Parts: sequence; C-alpha cells; structure tokens
Amino acid sequence: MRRPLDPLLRLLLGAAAGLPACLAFWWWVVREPLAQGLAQATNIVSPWLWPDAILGVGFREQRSLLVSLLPPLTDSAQLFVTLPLPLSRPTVILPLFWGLTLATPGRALLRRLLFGTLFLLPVVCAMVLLYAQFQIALYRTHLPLLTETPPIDYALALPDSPIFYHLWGLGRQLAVLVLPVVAPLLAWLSLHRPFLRTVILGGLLRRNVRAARKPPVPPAVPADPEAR
Amino acid sequence: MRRFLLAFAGIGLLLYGTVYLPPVREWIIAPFTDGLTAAAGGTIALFGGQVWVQGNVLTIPGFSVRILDLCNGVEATLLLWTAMLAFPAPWRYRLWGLLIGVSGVQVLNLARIISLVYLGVWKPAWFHWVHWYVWDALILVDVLLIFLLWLRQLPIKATPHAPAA
Repeated sequence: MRRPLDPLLRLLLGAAAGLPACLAFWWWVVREPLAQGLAQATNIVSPWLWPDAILGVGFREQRSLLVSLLPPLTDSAQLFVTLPLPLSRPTVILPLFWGLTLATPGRALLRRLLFGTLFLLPVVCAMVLLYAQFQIALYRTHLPLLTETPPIDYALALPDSPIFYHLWGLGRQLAVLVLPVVAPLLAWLSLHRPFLRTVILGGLLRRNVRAARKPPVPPAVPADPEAR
Repeated sequence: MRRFLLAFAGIGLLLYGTVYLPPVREWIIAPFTDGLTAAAGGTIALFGGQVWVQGNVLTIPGFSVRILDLCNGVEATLLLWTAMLAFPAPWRYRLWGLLIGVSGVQVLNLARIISLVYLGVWKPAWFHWVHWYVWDALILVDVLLIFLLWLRQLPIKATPHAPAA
C-alpha cells in the first residue's frame, strides 16, 4: 500500500502549483474589475472621509487610480493635482489566500474559498483607504516620511500634527507591507484548524514512531562475584 | 483558536508598533538593513560577481537597488515571531523557533535581494512584478512552512489550547 504523502509536503507542492495559477488568474482576469470596483467604492466614500481634499477618484490606463485634490496653494497653473493610488497591491492578498487554500487538503473547498474571500474583501478596502489617507497627508504636510517623499507640487493648507502624520505613515506601512502577508495567512489559519491539528498530531506520531524504532538499551550485566 | 488570534493581534501590534518607533528604526532597523545589504554584496562577491555596497544601496554593473522596508524581511520575521509567541508552547521551543525563524526568513530574503538585483539587469520590465508579487508569495510560503514545521516539533502537552477542529 502506498504511504500517504506528508501533509506539509503536500501543502508545499500544492502551493507551488496553486499560487502561480492563482496569481495568474488574478493578474489577467480579476485584477482590473476589482480595481475598478475599488475605485468606485473609494469614490463613493471619499466625500465623507475627505470632504475638503478629494474631488474625485479616477481609473486611467488600466494601471492606477488617481486621486484629484483641491488646487495646490502655489503658483502652479494646475487646477488640481493627482496622486497615485495603487490598487493591485491590496488585491494581491486574494490570490495569495486562494493559492494557499487550494493547496491545503480538506473538505468544503468552495466554502473555505468563499469565507476567506469575504473576510479579506473588507481588509482590501481598508488597505486602499489607509493608503489614500497617507497620500493626502504626505501631500498636505510635505515632509518625507518612512520611505516616501512628497510630490514637488504641494499645498501647505492643513499640515497634520507630527503624531498623526506618523500614524498615517504607519497606516501606509500596514497597508503596503504588513497586511499583504498577514491577512491571507490569518484567514488561512482561521479556516484550516483541522489541518493545523493534523500537522501537530502528525509531528507527534512521527516522533513516537522514531522513538519506537530505536533499539532498546541492553540492561547492564551484573558483575559475577565468582568470576574472579 | 480565539485565544491564539487575540494573542496574535496583541503581540503583533506590540512588535510592529515597536519596530516603527523612530528611534528603533534609526538605531536598530537601519543598521540591520545596511548589514543585510553588505551581506548580499558579500555573497555576490563570494561567487565572483562585481558589486558595490554603500549603506543600503547595492549596485552591480547595470543595476542598482536600495534596500528599504519590506526588502529587509523585518515584516515577515515579525509575522513569524508573532505567530510563534502567540501559540501556546514552552518558552524553550519558542526561543528556538524565533532563532530558526529569523534565519529561515533572512536566508530566503538574501536570495530575494540578489535575485532581484540580477533580474533588474536581465529583465528590468519584470522587476516590479517579481518584487511585489512573486517574492511576496514565496516569503508567505516560507513563513507558513517554518511555522508549520515548528508546530510539528511541539510537545503535545504544551499545546492544551491547540486549535480545535
């Protein structure tokens, strides 16, 4: 009889096949509709979130969303400025989760995929809003923060306080660096508890089998007092 | 599982919050990033490559990269540490896991940096895609794999709150 494949090895092989497939599916099929949907959603909520800053949200050249702001308080001839709002980065958490889920053995695959996607969609929206907030803060305050430098053309209208500015910077880090790895993993961990249990118990069983295979230590031979 | 998730959120906030404090960034993260750049440069030189390192800038003939946040693998390491610290386990296993974890992530990250700098020469058009998406996926799998391997080594008595099915 064939020995069942180690669950970790199975996960690794599954991820090697599933992640590229899901990334390709996301890039060529769902990325753009998702980005357009996110652009629409940001457009809807921006009057409430940034009433004095954002005029509108647009989607151009299938690449990035542009945030139009109030005219800068400079001598620029521009009527408004546009700031980039990358939308691919937030949505990449979906194919990462899909790839891991497809790689994980277990029942109810569709349900796991659906629940995970529903859990991650609000995270995607939060990432977009955090990044937009940081772009506005960077533009308004015009001070380099973390790895970002503000655009040359700027408005010194409402500079943020140093603490808030730092917090918006943290929000950007969260959206761009932390959540893209943390969110899919957390969603995966939450939805695959039986698999985790299999891994823990499997490790224990392997150690027990290894211990059982070790030859028993021979008992010490008592010294024969009459041998002298 | 709920307890693990709560602990994960709390420890994660603490670790990530600490790392983004300006003094920590200036005195710990920045020198670490410079050291990582030097290590990447040293590895390239070891294999006979021509390389220049200045601070966090790594240059090879035809391409140059600046190692910034994310590129230094700190976020991925913190994620792994958070998961290991949040999971109920004896401290001996945790400390061992933290050490193995940081090595596992940073070794792959070194490979990531070197591969990206050469990709910049070979296929500059692919750089962005591979940098933001392909390597993210690989780091994610790396973190998950190290965590699962660590889970497999845990003594069963140490996991009374192991996630229930």
